[in-house]
Amino acid sequence: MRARLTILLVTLFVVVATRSPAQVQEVARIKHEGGVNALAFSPDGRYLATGGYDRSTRVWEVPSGREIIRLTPSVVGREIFGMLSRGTTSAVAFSPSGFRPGWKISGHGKRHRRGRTAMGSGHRSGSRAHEPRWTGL
Amino acid sequence: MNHDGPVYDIAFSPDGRYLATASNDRSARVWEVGNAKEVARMNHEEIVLKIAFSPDGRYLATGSADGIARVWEALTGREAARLPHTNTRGVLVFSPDGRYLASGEDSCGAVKVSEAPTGREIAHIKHKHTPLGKLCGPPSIAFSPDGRFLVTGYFEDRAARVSDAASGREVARMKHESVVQAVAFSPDGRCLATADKGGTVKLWPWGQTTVEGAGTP
Repeated sequence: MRARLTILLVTLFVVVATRSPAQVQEVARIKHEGGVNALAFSPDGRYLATGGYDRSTRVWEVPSGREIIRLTPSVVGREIFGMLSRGTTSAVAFSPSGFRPGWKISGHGKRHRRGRTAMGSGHRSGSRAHEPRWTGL
Repeated sequence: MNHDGPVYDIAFSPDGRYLATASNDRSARVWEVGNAKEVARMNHEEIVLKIAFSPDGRYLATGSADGIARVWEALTGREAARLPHTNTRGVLVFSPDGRYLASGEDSCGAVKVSEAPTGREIAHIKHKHTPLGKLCGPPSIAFSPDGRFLVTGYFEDRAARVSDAASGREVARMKHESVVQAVAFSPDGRCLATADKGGTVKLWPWGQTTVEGAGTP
């Protein structure tokens, strides 16, 4: 009787455990000064462009979350594009030919080159500038 | 290229030869880019708000204010499928393999996945929704590069969800401190980015182990 009950409970636990969604741990956290509503990865997946209500377009290294470039208020370049409309950067995009951090951005806007690391997430993986490293994979 | 009213959305075909436009004049039109010749015209009952090409360029999806998303053969203008009850301000996203079409549903916070060429609904994803009058914004949707999963965000839900595209089953949840406004998968499918209204963008690992953690074989 007790054995049957144990089996039933274990089965129930397994069913519940396998049905519930996985809680994923973040690897990096990036902070803007306003809501973010535009995201785009570079074609090689090594950079992420973000834009939002603080009117800036920013590029971050993946997965370290290190800030590479900050451009305000909008940028139309050969490598990256950020569109400011109605007080927010509503769209960001990389050129399909790719992006390199050393490239000179051909659009207007202030360039921000000082590296800044991800903020206090505690899950940041070791950041080697050109070797993306993954934890938990 | 001229419509008889404002143009709300445009999209290039994947090969860059055609441009599709959605307009207030209740039509969507496909144009040849080189000579601006009208190739096809798709007439709707109401204004057309959204337009998207399938990855192979064969089909065109349109979202109209009559609450129906339609799938058309892009170059002939023949209607291939209808997806009723679609959020008309919403998003229309084809999976990278062209098999699925994800769209917002007219019930708040819901995303549906349909078979692209037939319009048959195959999955239904529900986000947390606290009614704010009649405000019912569009969800943000992105497919994984292999087309198996989709990540969705909704403007009342403080979590992004990853679901199995074929079943709609939620396999992972990404928690935020504020409501989620944008989602994206990296091109290699190994990373997810989610952004919220408080200005925080989070990067998440994605891969076989993440999915196995959710118990899928």
